[in-house]
Amino acid sequence: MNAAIEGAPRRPVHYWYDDGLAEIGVGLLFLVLAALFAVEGRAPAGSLPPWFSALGLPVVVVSGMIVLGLSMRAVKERLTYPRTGYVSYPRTGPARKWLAGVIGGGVSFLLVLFLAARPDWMIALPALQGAAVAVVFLLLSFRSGVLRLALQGVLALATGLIVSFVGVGTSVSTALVFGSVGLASLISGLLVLAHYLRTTAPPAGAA
Amino acid sequence: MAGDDLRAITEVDRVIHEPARLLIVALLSEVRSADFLFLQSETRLTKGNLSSHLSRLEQAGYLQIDKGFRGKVPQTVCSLTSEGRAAFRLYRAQMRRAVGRSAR
Repeated sequence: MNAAIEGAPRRPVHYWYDDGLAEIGVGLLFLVLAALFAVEGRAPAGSLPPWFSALGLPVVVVSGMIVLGLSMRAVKERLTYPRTGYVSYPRTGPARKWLAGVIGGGVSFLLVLFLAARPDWMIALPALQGAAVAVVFLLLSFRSGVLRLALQGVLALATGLIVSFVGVGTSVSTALVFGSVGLASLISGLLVLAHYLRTTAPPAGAA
Repeated sequence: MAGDDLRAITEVDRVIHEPARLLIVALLSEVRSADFLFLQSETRLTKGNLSSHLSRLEQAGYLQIDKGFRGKVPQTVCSLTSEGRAAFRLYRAQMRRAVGRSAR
């Protein structure tokens, strides 16, 4: 009884991942990021415009998250809500958004400073990126109770460690970390979506 | 003291303590709102049964029910009131104390 009371409030968070759309979206975003890093890593020196490195990542991340949010809402509206119902989640307050931004920016800034001072540690960059992605996925898994998110986090960490150990170029290694996690998320999301569509249907009489 | 904690279980809010209503309140406790279809698919209650439990919670002032349309489809959206959230917090605290005592 007590476990049920404690577990039930987490169920709506789990519900967000029931249709696999969130993982498909995140997977696509990670694959676009991987493509961006791969282009940067494979392009001959001086062939890309100078703004590409500086602006490419923030533009892709910000616009990708906006497009992701809008398209996710539209698809859930047509696919998920008519089948298993609508849930409105609490909005993240500006204080929490700022806190997340400051923590993320601060950690990145410290990492850049550290790598500038100790360039021999550049080889560990993919492992650090994999660890950062793993932490995010593990937190999401803990919050929602969705085990496959934790597995994707472990995959990110393992890929980062392997790529660091093998030692390829910085951009290519970043592309490998983001690419493998993106592909895993996409495949997982598609399988979950297929299962969701197979096992659910709009109630009889619904438009 | 232990007796007081255990006796407190007899004072829990009976509107929330009923299992189906407890599940409904627990599901709504961490979201802004959810519609009838979501609550029905999660609780597996019949439409009539779910409706009567929602009405009971509404009468107690714990639930707000808004009827409207999502596109052309009728939709019933439910959300806990601040009184409902407070009552659920108190209920959880009472149950934790009672279960904690009885486990020792």
